[in-house]
Parts: sequence; structure tokens; C-alpha cells
Amino acid sequence: MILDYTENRSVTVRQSSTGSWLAEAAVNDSLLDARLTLEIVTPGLNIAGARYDILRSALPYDDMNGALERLNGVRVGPGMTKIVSGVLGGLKGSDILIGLALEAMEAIILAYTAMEFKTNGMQGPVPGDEPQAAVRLNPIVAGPEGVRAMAAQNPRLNRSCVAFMEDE
Amino acid sequence: MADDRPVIFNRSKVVGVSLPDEQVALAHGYLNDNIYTMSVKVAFDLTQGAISAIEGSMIRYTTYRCAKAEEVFGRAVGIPFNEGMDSAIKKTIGRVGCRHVAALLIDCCHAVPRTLVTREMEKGADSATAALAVAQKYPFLSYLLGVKG
Repeated sequence: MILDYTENRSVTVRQSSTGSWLAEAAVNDSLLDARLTLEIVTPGLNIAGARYDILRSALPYDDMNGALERLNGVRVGPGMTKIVSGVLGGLKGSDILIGLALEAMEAIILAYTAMEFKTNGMQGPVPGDEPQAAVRLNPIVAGPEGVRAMAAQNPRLNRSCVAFMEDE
Repeated sequence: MADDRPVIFNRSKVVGVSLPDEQVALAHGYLNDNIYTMSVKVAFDLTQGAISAIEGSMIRYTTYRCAKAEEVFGRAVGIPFNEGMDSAIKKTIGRVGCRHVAALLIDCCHAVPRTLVTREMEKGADSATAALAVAQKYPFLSYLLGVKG
């Protein structure tokens, strides 16, 4: 079946020459090719700069770079969804830009998580964890004990999703 | 000079949509990053304006709990296109399954009106006319048709 629409999204996190982190979120679909770059200062994870470039658009659009300046100082972390939606949303806002900004910010958190997994290793299944085919296909999947160990090692994971809810 | 530092984190998401007839849209989404790989296939009933079928696969993930997302995909069937759609998916799939696959499913949903607008523009309509034509034919998508960059 031939597709009537295709969409490619990517997010890349890398370190800049000044030591800050750059999160670049891009969307390239049948109607739009756009890219958002956020500069994030570590370890506070505050946004220090933002730029939005539209390379191709079959649809009308507004220059949102003025609104993006209001993201300066916003911290990547709890509450960011509400703040970004407030700053970039509304009648003159852009849902696509909100999506790109949140994907870039989420990628910063995931980058930290991936680095911690690499540095500290992941706690795999321990005796007593339920055996399942999925674990055999994903040999470092953490069981309940492993999840508790991961949460203890990386407090950022607590309440980040259903696996890390205290009552689970 | 080109940057010579390795990338710290990289995520790719691909969404494709086909329109086999006027009543159905079929979408698939695939996510791959340093931590996760997952996919979702979803059908939309364009006469009812809702998700009509869904399958998902958690392929690579971190905890035993992630795999259980596959058990709750079916709960998304019947979720209608309206301003509460994203919240309903986050609640139904994201909160009890996996928030990453919920976001991927939302991407698939948002791609449907863009597909229909693309089709109208391929027929020669300008963007405003295309969006209006889609809104008239599928009024439940109107809230997503403020499409702009």
C-alpha cells in the first residue's frame, strides 16, 4: 500500500563547544520541514537559548522566534509541559512548535537517563522476578526488584511513568 | 568546522498514513532511540471519527512493566477525535502502559488530518481551501485543522 502521508521526527542531544547541551528536534513531513534547537545549561537544565527554523512549509506560519525567547530560563523538569504550552500556545501559538519543544526537553531527560544506565549499568531480573519471554528478548529488562534498584540509583525516575510509581 | 563530538541521545519517530477509502485511515508509528524501540498500528473510522482498531509492540525497553503496555492497547479503541483525545490517550495508554508509546499514538492521530489536507493539496487546492474541505467533510477533525508551522 502506498502511503498518502509520511512524517519523520528526530531529536538529537549533543554537547556544544561551550559545554552546554543542544537539543535539536526536527519534523519533516509531507507538509512541513522544521527544526527547533534548544540550548540547555547544565547542571541546572535551564534553557539558555532557542531557535526555530522552517525550511519548507505548505501551510501558512508565523515567525515564532519572538515567543521562543520567553522560554529562556525555563527549567527542563516537572511542570515544563504547562509552561511551554502557555508560552507557545494560544490563538497565535503553534501546536507543532509546542510538540517540538517538549520533545527536545524530554530528550534532555532521556539523555541523562541513558547516560546513567550506561555508567551504572541496569539492574537486570533478579531471582524471584516472574520469568517471561520478553525478558529473554530484552536481556537487561529490570524486574520489580530491579525497578526499585533503578529508582534508588536514579531518583529522577521516581513517578516518571507507571513502572516507577510507588504504589505499583 | 564540523562538530566532532558524539551524540549523547538520538530518537527517531516515523509515522505513515494511508487512506484506502473515504471511510478509513490507517497509520503506523515506529519509535527508536538509545533506550526504547516500539511500534503501533492504528485504524481510524472516519465515519465515526474514532480509533477503530489498534495493535502495538513493545520491542526494546527498560522494565518488566513496560511490556504490559501491550495489554492495554485495546482500551484505545473508541477514543474519538476531539479536544480531549490526547488526554484520553495519555490516561488510557500512557498512565497505565507506556507514556512513550502513548505519545507515538498521539502522533499517529495528529497525522490523520494532515494526510487529508495533503491529499486535497495534491488535487490542486491551496492550504486554506484544503483545510476547509477536510473540515467540512470530517467536522470532528476541525480542532486539529488550525494546521500551521
